[in-house]
Amino acid sequence: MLTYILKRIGSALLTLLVVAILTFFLMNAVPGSPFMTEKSTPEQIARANAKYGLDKPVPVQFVNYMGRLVQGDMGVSLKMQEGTRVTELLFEQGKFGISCRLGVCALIVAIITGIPLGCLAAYNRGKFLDSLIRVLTTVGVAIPGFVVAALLLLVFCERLGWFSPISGSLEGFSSYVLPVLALAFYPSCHIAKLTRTSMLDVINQDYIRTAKAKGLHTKRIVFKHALRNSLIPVITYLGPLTAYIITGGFVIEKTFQIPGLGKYFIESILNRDYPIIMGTTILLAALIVIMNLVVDIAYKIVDPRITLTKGDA
Amino acid sequence: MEETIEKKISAPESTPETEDVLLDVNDLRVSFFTPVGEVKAVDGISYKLKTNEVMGIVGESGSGKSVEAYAIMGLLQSPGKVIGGTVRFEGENVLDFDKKQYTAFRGNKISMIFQNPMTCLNPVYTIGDQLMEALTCHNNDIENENGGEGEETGEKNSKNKITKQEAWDRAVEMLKFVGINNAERRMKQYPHEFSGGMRQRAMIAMALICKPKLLIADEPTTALDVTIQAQIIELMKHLQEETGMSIIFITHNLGVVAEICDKVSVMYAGHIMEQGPVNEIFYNPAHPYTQGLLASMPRLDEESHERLIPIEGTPVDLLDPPTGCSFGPRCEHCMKICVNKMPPLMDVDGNGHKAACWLHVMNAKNKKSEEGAQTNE
Repeated sequence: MLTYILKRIGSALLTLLVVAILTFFLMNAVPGSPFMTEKSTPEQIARANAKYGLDKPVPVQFVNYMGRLVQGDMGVSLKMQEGTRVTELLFEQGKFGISCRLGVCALIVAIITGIPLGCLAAYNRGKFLDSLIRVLTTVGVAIPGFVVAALLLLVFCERLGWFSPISGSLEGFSSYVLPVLALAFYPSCHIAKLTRTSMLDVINQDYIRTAKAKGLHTKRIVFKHALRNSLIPVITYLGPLTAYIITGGFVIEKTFQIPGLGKYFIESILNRDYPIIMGTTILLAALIVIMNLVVDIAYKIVDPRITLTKGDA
Repeated sequence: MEETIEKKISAPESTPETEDVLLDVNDLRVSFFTPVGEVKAVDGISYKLKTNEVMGIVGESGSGKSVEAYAIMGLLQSPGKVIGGTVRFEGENVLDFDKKQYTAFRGNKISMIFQNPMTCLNPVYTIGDQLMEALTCHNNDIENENGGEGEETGEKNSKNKITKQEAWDRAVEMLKFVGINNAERRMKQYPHEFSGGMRQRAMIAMALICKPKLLIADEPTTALDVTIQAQIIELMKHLQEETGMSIIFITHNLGVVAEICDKVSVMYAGHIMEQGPVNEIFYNPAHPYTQGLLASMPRLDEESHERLIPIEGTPVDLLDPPTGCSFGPRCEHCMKICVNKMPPLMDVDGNGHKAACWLHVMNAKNKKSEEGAQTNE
């Protein structure tokens, strides 16, 4: 198990290196410069470039950047908050924290609504409740997040006036409700669909019949014998789900004006603030890689048949 | 003359032996209501099973033998439905049970083992967990029944409730009982760490852990290879002798039937074609279908160049069954009456051997007329 985790960490670092290379070179391939404004003269730009080492060839810049990165230095912001260290921007100013809170809340809401909905639909297969959940979830996976966000704003802020439309921050419970709902809606529907399908598959398995023949109660059959087996495909989805929560979070943060990482990331791209782009990308990539590792380990816990390491039968 | 014969045969049924009857299936009918029409999977079968008796149900695929067992267990899946008849277990009609009564009944008084041990155990729980669960869930049932009288008994019940240690010990004991070595270690293993034969042993242990009075074995050896088959049959025989339970053994393997069963019912297209003590069925088969089954079975005592004789034709299309005898279209002795009318199950001789065949009725009539002629002379 330990060797397995070490191996995975090794391959994770490799993945991150590839992500860093791709991002760095693509980012520099985009025309424009952080110092280009309507007023700036070529001399000013050249001076600024020289100050931050941007006058050197891109590969040299990359090696320099990576050299500093392994020491935990992500560079300083070039434009948006000139001179501020990127690590401080991401972590100490709470941008990453805000996005994390939003993302984790959405993840939890998606799981605790999606799985029971799926079970309920499977258990009432072919009945009205099943049809209702199926229609709802199909609609849910078809609507993009920003439409959901706009609809929520329209109904709950504009019509009902339950929440203030633009909170501008994530302080207090009420400011969480709409963004979290908007972000969790799609994954919740997707999880419900996955759970329903795999539950229906599992319910027809021979071991469920055995459980019935043993004389177990329906509740125990569904929640003990069927649920754990039907969770396996749902766990698979948790990896891509994390990626969705991150990218979906960008849109939701923009819509609700939440000062999180997503909003800041988009602005940094528009401003060509290279170190912020790099820092954010690497951070998010690391998050996804870690989540995938967690998913693989969760597999092993749920399904004892799965062996993580080769030859460990 | 006929009346006296009938009386003779029906007489044993009303004697004290009826008290011994554990399972009394009477005119059980099960249909599957499919979009293309009703499929009569079990079409009026009756039999009685005594305590300590092993009955084989033999028939080819689709003859309704498993469906009949599921109906007794209340495990029929939609669109299958019991549409008639009674199943009396110790005098109670189990078909009238509500959900709660059924869960208390299944696994406790009657258990079942299945065809494919590879898929019949839950892959994500340990063998021990699944064994102990079978025990504790019925222990709780008993507790609930007692608890229904009043809430004060709550404390008392928790004393009666089996402890985890007791359940564990009992499960280990069961695993040893079915011949699994290293039972303590095996308890902590998952089904995928067991071989097919071992899994079936574990299934049997699970089925017997509550000491049921009746075990339904639905082709328990079909998915296993021959040497393991023999071991499992041997084990079941041994366990049956030890516990004195009754077994319904569903199989298409006549060799297995000869090995373990006291009596046999031969099923075809939802009907019982022939029923009787195992020796009678094997050495004196009365129904052409049984004769066909026996002829198509390889035998060690025959000459090696002897060809097997298959039963010609294909099983009945249950969506559109023939009006007469369901075996009629495949029967070499098929007569006019066979096409028009399903023969009833009639006695062949006095010792419980019955067959549903017009041929047999004709023979009996001929015999009678011969006898009549002789006496006239």
